[in-house]
Amino acid sequence: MENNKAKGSYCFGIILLVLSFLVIYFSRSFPEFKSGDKVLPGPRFFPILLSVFFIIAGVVEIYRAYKSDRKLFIKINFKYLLNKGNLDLLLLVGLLLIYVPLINKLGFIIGSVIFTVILMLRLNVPLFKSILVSILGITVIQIMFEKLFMIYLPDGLLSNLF
Amino acid sequence: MEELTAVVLNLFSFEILIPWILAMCFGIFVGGTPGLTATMAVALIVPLTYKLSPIAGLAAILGVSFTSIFAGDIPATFLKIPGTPASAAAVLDGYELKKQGKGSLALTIDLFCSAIGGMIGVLILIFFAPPLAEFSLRFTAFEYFWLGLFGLSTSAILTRGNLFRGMISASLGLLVATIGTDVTTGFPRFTFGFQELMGGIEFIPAMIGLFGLSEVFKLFKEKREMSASSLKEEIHLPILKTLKLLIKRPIKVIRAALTGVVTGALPGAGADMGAWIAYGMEKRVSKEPEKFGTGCIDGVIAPTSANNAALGGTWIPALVFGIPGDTITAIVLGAMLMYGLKPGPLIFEENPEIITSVFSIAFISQILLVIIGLIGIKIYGKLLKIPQNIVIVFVLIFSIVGSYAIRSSFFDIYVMLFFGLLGYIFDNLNVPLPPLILGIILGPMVEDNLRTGLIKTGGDLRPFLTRPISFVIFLLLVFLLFGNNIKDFFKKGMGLFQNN
Repeated sequence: MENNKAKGSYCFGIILLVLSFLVIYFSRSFPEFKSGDKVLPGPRFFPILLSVFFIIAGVVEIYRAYKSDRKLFIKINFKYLLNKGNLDLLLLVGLLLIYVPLINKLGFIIGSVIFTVILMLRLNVPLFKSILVSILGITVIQIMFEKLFMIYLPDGLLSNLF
Repeated sequence: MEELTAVVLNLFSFEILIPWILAMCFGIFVGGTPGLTATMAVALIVPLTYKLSPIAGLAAILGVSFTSIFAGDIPATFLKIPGTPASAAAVLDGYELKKQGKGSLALTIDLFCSAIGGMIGVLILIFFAPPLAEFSLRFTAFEYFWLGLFGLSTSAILTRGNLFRGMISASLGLLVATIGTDVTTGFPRFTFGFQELMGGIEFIPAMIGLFGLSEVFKLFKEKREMSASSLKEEIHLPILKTLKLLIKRPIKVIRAALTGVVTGALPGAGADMGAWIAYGMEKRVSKEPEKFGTGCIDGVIAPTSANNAALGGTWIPALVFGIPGDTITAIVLGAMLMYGLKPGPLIFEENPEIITSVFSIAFISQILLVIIGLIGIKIYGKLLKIPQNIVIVFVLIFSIVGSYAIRSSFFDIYVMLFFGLLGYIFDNLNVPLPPLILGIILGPMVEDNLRTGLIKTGGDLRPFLTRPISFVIFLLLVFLLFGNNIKDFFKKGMGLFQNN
């Protein structure tokens, strides 16, 4: 647990440092806010102020990680990153990235039925049950949004049928 | 009085009552499903209320918040799995009573205590919010800046005890809030050419991502533990026995509810902390503290009265200052902004009918909670038969459709996905999420008031500390952040003095 905490601090510290440098880099293009001769806090003021805090926080996080476990400072745990749970998670994110353009092309009902069946199979739901539950559930959601709340979901391929 | 009657009668109109009741049933379903939080229930219901009138939408959202908090106690009692974090304290004695075959009694007591606690919370809100709002009219940019920081710091302190990471999380929320067109100069910040970002990050997809999708990610990763549990106990509803038990213990219910309200009013604390503090306090004052945790009725009364009462407490800073007391109120504030209502002291003058409606909705919701809750307990046995691996897939679909529905934009689904991943990563890094959300909500308040104050004074920081109310809030903030260090310092000083 302590090791995880240290790893977390190390990763988090680097994320904070990178983020703060990016914010400062992009904020430089924001215009100044002047009133007469005086330069007053403009659009860049607050993001840069926050970046200064992130730099300090990032350094503190890395220092804490380094202090709590010096070996972890240079070791990246690939075994942890590639365990089965994380791969499942990557699969879900990948499926989501495919699913969003898919519902635009195929429509909400067809796209969602395919997506939910794949997910349920992955979650060990039997094939027949997952198809049945998917078709029923997705149809109910579509009707609920379109008829009850007047929010129209993409029709895609089915647009000519209705 | 006539105005109140008109407001209440309006609440019973078909177009408000139906979505209100349906939403409360939805709250029972989501809150009662282990792994799905009350915050998630509220986040998921918001997109469904876009096309409703503001009052109907608020009734639905408030109704969900009350039922989902109670419903979290159902699996807590029957399965020892809290449906929501606010129900964790209810597990201790509720589940022990269930083991003794008294699960139905524990839940019926729980339901009545939730409703009574909720009513006490709402009554305190009704009596305290308006005078506090009148006082807060004296506040200017300087005070609001400190108040915003105070809200953020409290949430950072109270979330997981990791103050430093809580503050980082809150600051990241403040950074997210800077995305979009700068109000003072009209210059677009961090939009990278995306028109969809000109108005800033849409709050609801971000919220659904952080609290809905990140939970789905977590459960998906641990999918081998998602087998459905079954309930063997026959469910009955001993209403009369419950009422007799509660009549003998009015002080305990009121004390726990008051504890819940006070805790809820602290920004960042919320219902879960209210429940734990009330449980601890009841145990401390009890004549038989050893009975707590063994199936003690008082151990059920305390947390369940407090968690719903805390919701009333969270509404005090939310309505008066626009500072949400917890993540649930943060979502409701986001929804109010969506309806064109700006929470803060002026809302009491500009939209009195909305305030009266919110108070009435909150009060009537407690009565509806009893009816819907009783039905909910009864049908929960059937709900338990839906395996979690099916529920989780449909939560995912609801999250996607909910994000899309705000402005029929696929971009918002990607925003939700981004925040879902961010929430998941932060959770693994032990970075608390509530301060991040409060940062997004309070970001404009903190930045605008800081810059307005500095522009007013020509860059002079002194008025931030020399105005009396400003100075008091600043002192409170210092004490909040460094109170323990200050105490230690004085203790050491006293020790040295005594030794010498």
